Amino acid sequence: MTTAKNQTYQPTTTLDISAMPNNLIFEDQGIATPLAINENNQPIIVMLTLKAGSKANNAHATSDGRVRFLTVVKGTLYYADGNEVDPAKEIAYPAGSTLLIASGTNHWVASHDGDVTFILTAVENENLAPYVTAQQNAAQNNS
Amino acid sequence: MSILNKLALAGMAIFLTTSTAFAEPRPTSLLDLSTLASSPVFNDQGTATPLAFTDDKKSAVVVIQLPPHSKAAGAHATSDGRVRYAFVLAGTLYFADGDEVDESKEKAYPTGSILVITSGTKHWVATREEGLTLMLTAHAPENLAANALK
Repeated sequence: MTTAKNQTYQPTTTLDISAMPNNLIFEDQGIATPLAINENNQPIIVMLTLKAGSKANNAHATSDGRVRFLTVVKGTLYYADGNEVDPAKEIAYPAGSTLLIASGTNHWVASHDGDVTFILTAVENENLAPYVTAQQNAAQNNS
Repeated sequence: MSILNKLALAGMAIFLTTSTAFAEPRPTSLLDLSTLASSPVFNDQGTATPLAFTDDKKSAVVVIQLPPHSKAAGAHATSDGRVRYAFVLAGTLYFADGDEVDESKEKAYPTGSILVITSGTKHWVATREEGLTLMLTAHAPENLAANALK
């Protein structure tokens, strides 16, 4: 580590998720690791890992008014909107996919083929890039 | 466990918790990056697509896409005091810290890697045989979870 101009420079590192505090979720089928919080101490980035074959018992929704970007980092996530879990409605999202999930939208997730890792990033609606909002509006109009 | 950790874990319950509808629900949609406005970066070799901003209009979430064989002309550093998480979403990132670009110092970070880059740390990125999709998120150091910074 070096210091210059009153700023501490640190070498770039790879994040060691295993060294960070986490919670069991999804009836102990997975792990959630918060990576950062906002000024109100709300998590804004959480990494989730689900074991292969994880299944949701119920649909759920968030209720804080924030939008979530769900980005699949590893594996394939199975996801669907709806009030009741119905595997027939699930769509497979491979690594690299990013979903936009609105607050209040009931949905569920599952992992079938293997472990899946994804990141949830929570953003206030008004802080979304305008064209992201436009895409979300278009999706709603087409639904 | 630090207070920050306790707050983060407690807040996560809310982050993930179930509830009934808050407002008129909107369908979940798959983000189509190709239709979003982007800016050329990296001497026009790639694009940067901001997805979200902070309350004071700084970029908070940006997706960078680089084609194969992108090379940095020079090392660079951010200067806003925020820490970046760099998530490798597709492809392999070649990355190194340093004041001068030196390919022999680059390390390969495959899909799924997460780097923690502090403000003021000079570095460069490159791609080789495959293209790269990288998501950058920016945070005040005090808002990072414990152990994120070694």
